[in-house]
Amino acid sequence: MGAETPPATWQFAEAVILDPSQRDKLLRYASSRFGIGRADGEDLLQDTLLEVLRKRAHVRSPEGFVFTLFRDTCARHVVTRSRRREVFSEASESGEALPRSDGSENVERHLALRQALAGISSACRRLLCAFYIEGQSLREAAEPLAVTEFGVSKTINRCLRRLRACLS
Amino acid sequence: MLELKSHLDEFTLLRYIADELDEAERGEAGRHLEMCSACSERLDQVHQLDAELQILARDRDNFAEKHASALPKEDPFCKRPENDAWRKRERGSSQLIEAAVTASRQGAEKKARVLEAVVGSREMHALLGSLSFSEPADRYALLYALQEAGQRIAENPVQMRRFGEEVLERWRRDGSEAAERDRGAERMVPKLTLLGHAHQLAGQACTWMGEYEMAQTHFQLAYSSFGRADDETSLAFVELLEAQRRFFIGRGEEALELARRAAATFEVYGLDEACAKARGSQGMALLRLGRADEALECCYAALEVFENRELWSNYVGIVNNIAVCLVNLGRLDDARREYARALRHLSRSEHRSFLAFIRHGLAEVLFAAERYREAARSVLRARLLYINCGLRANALGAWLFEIESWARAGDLAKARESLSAFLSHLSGERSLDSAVVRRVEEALSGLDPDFRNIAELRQHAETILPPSSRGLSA
Repeated sequence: MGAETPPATWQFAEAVILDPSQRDKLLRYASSRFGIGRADGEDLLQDTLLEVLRKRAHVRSPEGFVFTLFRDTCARHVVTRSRRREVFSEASESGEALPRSDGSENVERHLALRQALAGISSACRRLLCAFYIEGQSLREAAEPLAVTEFGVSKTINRCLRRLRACLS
Repeated sequence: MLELKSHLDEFTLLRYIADELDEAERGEAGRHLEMCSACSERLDQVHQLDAELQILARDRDNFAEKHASALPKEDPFCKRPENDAWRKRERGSSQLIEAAVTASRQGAEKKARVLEAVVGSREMHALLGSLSFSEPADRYALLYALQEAGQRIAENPVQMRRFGEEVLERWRRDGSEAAERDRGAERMVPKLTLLGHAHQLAGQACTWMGEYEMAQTHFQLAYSSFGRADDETSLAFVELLEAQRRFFIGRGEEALELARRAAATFEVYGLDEACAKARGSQGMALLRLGRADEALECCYAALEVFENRELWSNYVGIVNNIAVCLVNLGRLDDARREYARALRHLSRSEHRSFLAFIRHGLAEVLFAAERYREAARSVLRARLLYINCGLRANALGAWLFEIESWARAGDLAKARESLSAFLSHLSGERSLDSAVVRRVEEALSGLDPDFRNIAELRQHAETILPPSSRGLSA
């Protein structure tokens, strides 16, 4: 009777550090999914790897673990970056000194987005849930909705527009 | 095929960034984006929306149809803390990451010495005093030791608590200065991470020792630290521990919500063991709430992982919970089968203490089904195993249980024989209050034993047993 010892995260972190092709793969993902440039991507990847080294965990898939951590780091970066841009543009328009962001507007925006999510159609929320939480592709997630392909796009577009409006 | 003349819609842009367009569509979309500033601007917004939704997706409830939280708004655990403050990002360098790998390896080696000193207690103060917060390898060693101490909490909760508190104290004394001075060490193992783990360990130990209010304070501080450090998996671990704490103070709904939230995060990150522990905690909470069917499902999910990974301590706890669920559902025979299966899995030479817990659990099930004679036999075997393993408190509790079971089975001769052995065992140790001994003797003195009196004594004995015997997993 032998235990199935799962692979360790830190060993994979070391492998990513040593393997340029692994790093490139993640950087390409940061660029296509989040529009993050190479220099920022390198920094975010470094932050991710430092975090992996802090966790001596055994996981189902170290590759998946590092990827999920990197994806979250990128998402947080995009959200705080956009907030930063707003702070800069408000300050330059008013000619006032740069205010320090305390995060309160981000909280409001999250709240608005949460409320908007509660208000969209059940079908669309199920699609987003399948895509963002259950890890299905958009195509798979849209299948249960697919009365007609055109009808699906129309519903989803309307819903995404409503959500996007919360961020502006 | 995309219609190039019109603008790209939101769904297409989302499919574009999710890399779900086919090659031809992607090429056309790319060309359109190069020419069309409106779509390019919209692409930026969809990137941002996508990032926001990914962050919201960490809590499944944000995507739920309706959600009434069991946690009140003012509860610090109501929502996972988010670090929204802008943080200046330092440019990375290849030297930093290479240095981190080296320091991490050295830290992993030093960790063993730290833990040895922690468990050995006397040398802990001196060893911790010799570590420097300016030294990255020392920070890694402390961090890894704090993490592993949490997994080994059952070995010595008192010492583990001292370890967590001593790290906090040392940081108060000279950590802040080191954080300012040694940026490299601070980037590798930030203060927030280190302090978060120290509070987490201290809180975990307090829960084991039944100091629930102090545990709450530590968990809140750990939660806040990990929130500021953007550390999702550590936040989930604190939620799991807080769920266990709330379970023990009788707040089952809240425990359930926290355990469920933690399990969702562990699932996303592929942390199977942690996920199984969270599922086990969900099961315990559901059982407390009288939802045995759902509890059973959670417990079976956890059981599989514990069995495959040979995490026997967790395995035993979950088998006991499964049995209680089955009994609640009127499936006594299934409960017995689960115990029989567990007994087959465990080795008689290597897992004697776990066998004892299983036999004790089986006795509880039989007792609940009023099969007192079988219960007495099972707990007798558990008691012998406890003694064999040096688990004295558990053995004494089992002994009282055995006496009560014999008495309830109507076999007063066996009950008295067992009591006599119990008393002679204790007289050597002089460890039991004479009033307690007198109560047991009185309860069995007449023709009709006083079951209530024996049961009270047994329950009293159970309250002083360590949490490991009550289903708390590390």
